[in-house]
Amino acid sequence: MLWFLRDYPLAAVLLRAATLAFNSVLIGGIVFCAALVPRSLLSSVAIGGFFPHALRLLRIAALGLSAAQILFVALDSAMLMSTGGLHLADLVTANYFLAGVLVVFTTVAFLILSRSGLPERPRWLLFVIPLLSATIWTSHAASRLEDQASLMLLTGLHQLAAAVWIGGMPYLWLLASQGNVDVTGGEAISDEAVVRTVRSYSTAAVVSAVVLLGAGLAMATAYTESWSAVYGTAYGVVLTAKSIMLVGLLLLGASNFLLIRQGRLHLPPTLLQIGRFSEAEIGIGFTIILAAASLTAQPPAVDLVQNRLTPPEIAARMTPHWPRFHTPPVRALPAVDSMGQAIRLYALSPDDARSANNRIEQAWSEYNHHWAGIVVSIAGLLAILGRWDRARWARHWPLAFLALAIFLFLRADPEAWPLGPRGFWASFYNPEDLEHRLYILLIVSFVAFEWSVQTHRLQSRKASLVFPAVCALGGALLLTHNHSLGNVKEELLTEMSHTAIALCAVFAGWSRWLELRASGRGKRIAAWIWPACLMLIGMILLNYRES
Amino acid sequence: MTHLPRWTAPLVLLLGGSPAAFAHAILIRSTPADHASVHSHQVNMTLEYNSRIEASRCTLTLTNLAGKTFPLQMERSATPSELKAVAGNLANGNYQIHWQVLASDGHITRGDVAFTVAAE
Repeated sequence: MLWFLRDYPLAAVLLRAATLAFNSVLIGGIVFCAALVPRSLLSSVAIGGFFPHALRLLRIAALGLSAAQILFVALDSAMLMSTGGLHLADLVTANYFLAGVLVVFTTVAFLILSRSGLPERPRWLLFVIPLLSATIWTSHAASRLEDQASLMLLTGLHQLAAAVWIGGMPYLWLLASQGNVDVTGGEAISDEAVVRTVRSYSTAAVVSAVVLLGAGLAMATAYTESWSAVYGTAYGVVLTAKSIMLVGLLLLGASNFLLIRQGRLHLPPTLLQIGRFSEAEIGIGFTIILAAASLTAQPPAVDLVQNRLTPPEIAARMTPHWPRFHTPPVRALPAVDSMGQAIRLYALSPDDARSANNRIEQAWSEYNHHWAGIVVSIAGLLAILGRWDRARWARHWPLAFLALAIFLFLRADPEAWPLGPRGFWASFYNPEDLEHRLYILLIVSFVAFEWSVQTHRLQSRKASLVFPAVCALGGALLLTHNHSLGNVKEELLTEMSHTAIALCAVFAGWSRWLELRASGRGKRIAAWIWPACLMLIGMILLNYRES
Repeated sequence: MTHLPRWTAPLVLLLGGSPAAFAHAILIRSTPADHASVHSHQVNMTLEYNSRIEASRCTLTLTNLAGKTFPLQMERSATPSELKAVAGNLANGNYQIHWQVLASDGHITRGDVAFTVAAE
């Protein structure tokens, strides 16, 4: 709890993300099972095999949602009681508390009732009402001074559509990957109930996508009101990132839609392909939900009228400059704090400890970023070259990241061994140095996996998914690592390049995933996307500046 | 100080690093304004936010130059986005209002407003 109280902003956004994600999976699953599976085909073997898995996922989502809500209520209450001098009795009628109680009560009722029956009957849809109400109750819309009712209605439509479409995807995947092949007629064909359910989901997903876009556009207009709020505020930056990912999701959804409408759904390979595309859709879909959670933790852009970035300021920062290949000497860096002082500074304010860069330190840091950009660009280029048999040597591209890890080990903490006076082991006592050492270790470990996969030293399918999974997860988390309080311009400019890198990492991760999992044209297209994303990350790093 | 490329930030987060602060309910104007001078020993305070807040669960405290902090008794406001309080018998000098608000959507935010009492 102490960690929670100290890092309230991070804890609040993570719990909000968990709430939105579990809520979507629960509502999406209830709608999928109770409204999309044809009632006349419930006795089908494939549906019989699907329901226990679906029920398990529904119950996990209900448990997760309940836990996230209990933690959020506990976090807010502990914060208000410890810093506001309030008692628990003062808080039980607060909006967040009542919404939390409603969700916990609903999920517990769902868990009890679902023990004795499958959620296939329409009456299960009644659970959607309290779940959706609680989310609307604690949304931006509920706290608006103007247009509160219409914004709450739009929020409800947006979230219901997101739940049916994105929250329903894991169930589509479960259904598509079930034992759904009927071979009684001599030819392998998919189960009729599965085919009809997939078609029903496809129709529901298209309707949901239209509602989600319409309501989202109306809310974006209300919360931004002008283009300057879109490009000039942190809210606008995350909103833009969310919209770009939504375009990616729509493209994947369109691929699945075309597969479904081609009329070959009865052929098992088509269902398998739909399942594989769904994996990437689920990943990008839930990354969008994570971005939505980070949006809800910020003031809407329309309320931030000061310190917005202007187009000339953005253009000045984004204009390409020749990279810095000249590093200041290590002796020009500021004198090293004693270990005790460094630890105290970090404990008091980790952000201040990190951001107090002077011009020499900026030059040192930009040099690091620019060399990192070169290495990442080369890795992307080699990943493309490695596709030709004549350039098989290029398949060793993950080793470029190993070189980068060594470079970072030497230069990330110039105050520590081997460049600085602090000893190698002594530097582990400093949390910042320790953090750097740990993620250099993480880079080395994913390099080891991907290099072994690229050079066929490792054949395991799971091992091949380590690199795309780390890449996509890292990008998703980077999207929550933002938001300058009060829109300090310098922080916002940094956040822009940050967000661009996050998007590239998300698309790189999921396109590599698709390359490994899908087949046909989708696989071929995906194979080009992720090296291009790596090269883009490299370009962004090459143009990185701190002033 | 930081010398690491931005793309490594997700790894920092994976390993438990903390991000910058978030905010939701933000102070859009106040009386007295931040760093303003007040020419009276009695100060009427009004803090206006961008969103609805749960006033009964918000707190206002005042800190004087000596570092002594005391809670402010809030007055009822007709506006759902506003906090009001009065502090009397303030000696000349610098003060700081610390506010903590609970927005209707459950997010807690905090901040300070500094002012100076310079009465005749």
